[in-house]
Amino acid sequence: MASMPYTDAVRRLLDILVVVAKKPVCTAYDIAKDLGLPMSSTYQAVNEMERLSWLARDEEGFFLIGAVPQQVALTALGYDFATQRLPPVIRYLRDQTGETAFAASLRAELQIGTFLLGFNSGSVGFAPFQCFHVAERVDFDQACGAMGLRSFSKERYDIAKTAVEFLVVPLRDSAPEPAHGKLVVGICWQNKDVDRRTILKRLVEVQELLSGRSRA
Amino acid sequence: MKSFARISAVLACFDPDEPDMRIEDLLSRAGIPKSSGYKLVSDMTTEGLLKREARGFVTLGRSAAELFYAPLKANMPLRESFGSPKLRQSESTPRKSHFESNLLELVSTERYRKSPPFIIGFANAATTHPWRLAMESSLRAAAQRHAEIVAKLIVSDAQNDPVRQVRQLAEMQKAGADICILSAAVERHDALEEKVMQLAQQDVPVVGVDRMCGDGRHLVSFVTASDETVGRVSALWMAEHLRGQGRIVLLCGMENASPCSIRLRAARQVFVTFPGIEIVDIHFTDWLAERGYALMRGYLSAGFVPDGVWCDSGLQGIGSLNAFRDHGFRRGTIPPHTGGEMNLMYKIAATEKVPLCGLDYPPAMGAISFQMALDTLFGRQVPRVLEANSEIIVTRGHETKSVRADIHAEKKVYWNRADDHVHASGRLRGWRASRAD
Repeated sequence: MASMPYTDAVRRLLDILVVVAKKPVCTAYDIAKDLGLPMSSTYQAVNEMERLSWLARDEEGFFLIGAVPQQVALTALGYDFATQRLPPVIRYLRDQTGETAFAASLRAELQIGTFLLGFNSGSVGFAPFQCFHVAERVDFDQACGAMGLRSFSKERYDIAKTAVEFLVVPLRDSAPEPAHGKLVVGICWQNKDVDRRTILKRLVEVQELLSGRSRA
Repeated sequence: MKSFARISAVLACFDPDEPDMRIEDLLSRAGIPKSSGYKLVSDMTTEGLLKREARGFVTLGRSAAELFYAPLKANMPLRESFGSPKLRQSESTPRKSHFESNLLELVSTERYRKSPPFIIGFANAATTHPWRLAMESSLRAAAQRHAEIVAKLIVSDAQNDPVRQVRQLAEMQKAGADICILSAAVERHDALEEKVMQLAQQDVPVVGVDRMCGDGRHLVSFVTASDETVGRVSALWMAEHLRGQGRIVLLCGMENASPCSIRLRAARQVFVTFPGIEIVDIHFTDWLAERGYALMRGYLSAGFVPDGVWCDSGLQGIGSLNAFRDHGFRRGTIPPHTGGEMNLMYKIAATEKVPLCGLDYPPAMGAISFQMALDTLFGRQVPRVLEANSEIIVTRGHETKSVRADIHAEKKVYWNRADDHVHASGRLRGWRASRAD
């Protein structure tokens, strides 16, 4: 890698991240095959990316996007928040509700970040780098800032054929200026009704746990 | 510095309070010479990682913002729940009793920052059963992947003896270990706790994995999976599967090992809420299949057939299932069992039609703890406690009101793999993505 020209290095880094994001179960072999790279240099690249925390591995050994690019993204979006605090709460929200749980950046669109698919029926799946156009936005609970959102995906390869419903709460103190969007955590579902009040309780619980804990 | 490291260093310089920077300052802060740095900035701008602002200033670009997208689990492309509500019942009860707030605590490791190559020690509690071996090989594989920066990996086996483990940690320190990864031999031991404290005071950080000794306050980080969830969910499934009525036997792991005591405590808290469930006896098997076998064989020979067998792991669970098979129980007659991880557990459950609920306690935490050790030595912020994900596996048709499967046992099992293959060990060599399609 040391002798790789910068142009190639930057492109390769992004290409590998995109393959990892797009492939549900991704190995070094898949990356090499998708990008047409030799196996040896692919192994070298992914090992270095893992060392730098650009890539991580799940419990089965498949690649996932690591903490460093997520932190860079949060900074790029204007949020002062340690990305390592998101996975435990997203996992908790999913485990407690059975629905798909996520963190997202809410502006005119909802840009999906860290997420975990639910195990209940009607769980929503996300396409890679998915943004949802927010068609309806309703204040659900003013005290905690909870919002109900309704959306149709803009993405051509969207799994969802019908509207997706979201209930989100903002993470307080995550953005240094109000002009930025809101970093939110939430639950989403489709084609069914859920007990929004119960979900709200869980969301408020994690909102309080995370409140004031900005990047250390 | 290598190319990826330089790209990473440039991107890490930005802060929400300082969203744009003069290129010269950026390169200086990232420790990159101007001679090559301008070319790097230019290439990063072309790819959208950086964006040119006012003259001489850059900020993070669109491609950088897109990197927020991050699934926490490499899910199969088309889960059976998508668009097929009829395949699953709608709601389930919470999997966790509460959120442990220490999962949100982050630790600064700046004081431990060193330059590679590193000497890393791994003090394993024991190598007595397949899970411990799988955990060790997951860690060894991680070390192998990073051979460029690991000068030496020292691995020891305490054979569940804390005194021996104290000695082994001292030997690692003497051999110049930069960091020690510890899977504690026992849950409570004064000398072992003191040794961990000593190491921390002498700037040899210790990362805990799987088994904790004491309260863990001297560990930089502790890598685990939720033992509370393992105990609670498996007990809930057993009680609901038996419709709240039945006499059951509890086959636990090892007394004085933290995963065992936490799982047992959580399970008993569930069983006590089902007055019709009678716990006939609680046995400790040291997570050995032969002990599980001998104990169940003893019950069956004495003419007692439990209505269910709760095992805190598949390690002893396979012993119990084999005892039923050897005693002549036919397909579909073996009572429900709990316990995951072991491939044989899922094979027997599928072939003998045994109702089963298993939670895979991932041996991959060996590799995760190794990554945590590297993060510590590179001076990155690490979580105080990191919980690996435990999948819930239930045999088809045996999900209960509260317990939904992440995946069915029939789909989880690897028929072409060895009986002692341990699931979630993070080493799927040759596993093809096409299998998931």
